[in-house]
Amino acid sequence: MSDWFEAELRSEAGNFSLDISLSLNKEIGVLFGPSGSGKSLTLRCLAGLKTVRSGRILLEDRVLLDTRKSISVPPHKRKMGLLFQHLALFPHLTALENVRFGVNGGRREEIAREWLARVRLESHGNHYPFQLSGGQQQRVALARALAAEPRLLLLDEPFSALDGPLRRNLRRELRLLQSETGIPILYVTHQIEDLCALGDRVFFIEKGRITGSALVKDLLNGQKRFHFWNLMGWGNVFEGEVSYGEEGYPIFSWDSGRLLLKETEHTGPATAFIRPDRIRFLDPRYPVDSEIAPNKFSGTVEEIQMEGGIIRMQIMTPVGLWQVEQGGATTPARIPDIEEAVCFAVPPVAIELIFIKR
Amino acid sequence: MLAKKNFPGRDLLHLILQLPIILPPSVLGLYLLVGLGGSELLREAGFLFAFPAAVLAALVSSLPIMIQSTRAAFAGVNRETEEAALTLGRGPITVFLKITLPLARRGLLVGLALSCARALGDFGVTLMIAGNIPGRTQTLPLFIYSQVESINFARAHTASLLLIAVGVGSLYLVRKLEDGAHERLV
Repeated sequence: MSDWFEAELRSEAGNFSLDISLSLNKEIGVLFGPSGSGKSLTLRCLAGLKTVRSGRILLEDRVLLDTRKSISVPPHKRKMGLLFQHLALFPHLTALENVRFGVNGGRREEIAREWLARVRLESHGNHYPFQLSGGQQQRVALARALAAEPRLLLLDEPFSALDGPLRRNLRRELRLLQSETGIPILYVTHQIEDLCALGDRVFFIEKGRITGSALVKDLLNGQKRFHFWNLMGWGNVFEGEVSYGEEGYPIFSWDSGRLLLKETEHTGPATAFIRPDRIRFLDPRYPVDSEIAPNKFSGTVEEIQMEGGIIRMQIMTPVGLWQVEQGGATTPARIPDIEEAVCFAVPPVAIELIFIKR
Repeated sequence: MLAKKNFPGRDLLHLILQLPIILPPSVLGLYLLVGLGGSELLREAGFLFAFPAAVLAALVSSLPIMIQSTRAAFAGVNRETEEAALTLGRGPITVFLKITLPLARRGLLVGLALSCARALGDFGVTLMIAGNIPGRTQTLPLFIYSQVESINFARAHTASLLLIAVGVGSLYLVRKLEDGAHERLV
């Protein structure tokens, strides 16, 4: 069966090179990878906002790009919606006018109102973007993108600025809208939660290359899931069990280790995922925050890589090898040496759990 | 004008358009005079030392300010906003008219106010190519100069006050517009 959408791209930005190929049915695809892996660039190339050195894009039965035949459909004719990370709402237009902007045909006003109602903002039509809350702005942006009837919707981490419960609601709404409209979505994220909650299919991207793709259900439950976790090559993954400890706090335990959790709705077998950049590198001279003290580990540095302002370390501990990334405000005062004994802690809020149905 | 486009010779064009800011008005006026006076057609048409020349002088001296503010106004419009409009299926012209232009509006008005004030106040270039002919090419600054020369300070003061009022007025307008520009941005 031929896919709804196929793309093959090569592009450059500075000394970064992108070489991507992906294909998608009428489903939600997730482009998953660490920051700086070329996710946003990919979306810009697909939408036609960035020129591509060579490649081919097919959407439905239309050729949007074929560098060999010198075909390149301009962005406004691609019928590809793009929802930016910073939303890019039109600040001088009301919510309704924002949504109406992309609507085609005669009953523009009416259709725009319908879309606002669909994202439950019918009473906010006359508000300007700056009068809306973060979540409401997201929903306006989503309604605006969908009202233009794209054949594929590209989302560039639009929920990343929102906090937990709001994100969950919006994700649910997005899923619902997707199943109602049938518009396929390509969603960019570096959050595993988004991947599991939203995606049908995932593409792993690293340093501008697709390193693999899988169905999300295989990723969670399938036989090959360890293979996929490895493919991702990023993040700390542990298979274990969530339970309530003797003190009544939820804990995640595996082979030899245990982690204190924040709170949990379920117990039972689960996979814990901890992003390397959310691990707190500790200075042994200072006392540890009581909140993270139970999740303190010590080990020795096995490997150090410097990339931009980010220090990536592999730290061997009695409970396995950990990836730890520090950069920006969390940069340690001194970069440790190889073999040096160090300690780090995992803040309970940084632990993402995926429950496995067995 | 094209704040965001890159084309060959752009830097050179930019340089030439900025020249009126740094060149002394007399130098500018001299070459305009030589350039325009060299053309048979323009001499015949009575262009120099007449009203059209006064208009040209005002234009030349205020154009760089207008260009500068226009560039700043368009460059200040968030690129993603325009790109988002494109991906909604609207062509570049619609996007320019409905998104870029309204968002740059305040900046453009600021430029207009500043360059109007500048145009009214031009002295050197006007004198060089349009002369100082009362009732025909005498602008307010030239009028002041003439009145001072004939030691008629009262009339000079009156005219000066008028110019000061326009200047202060346009600066006030600019301030108001710039304050307003921050309000709506998220």
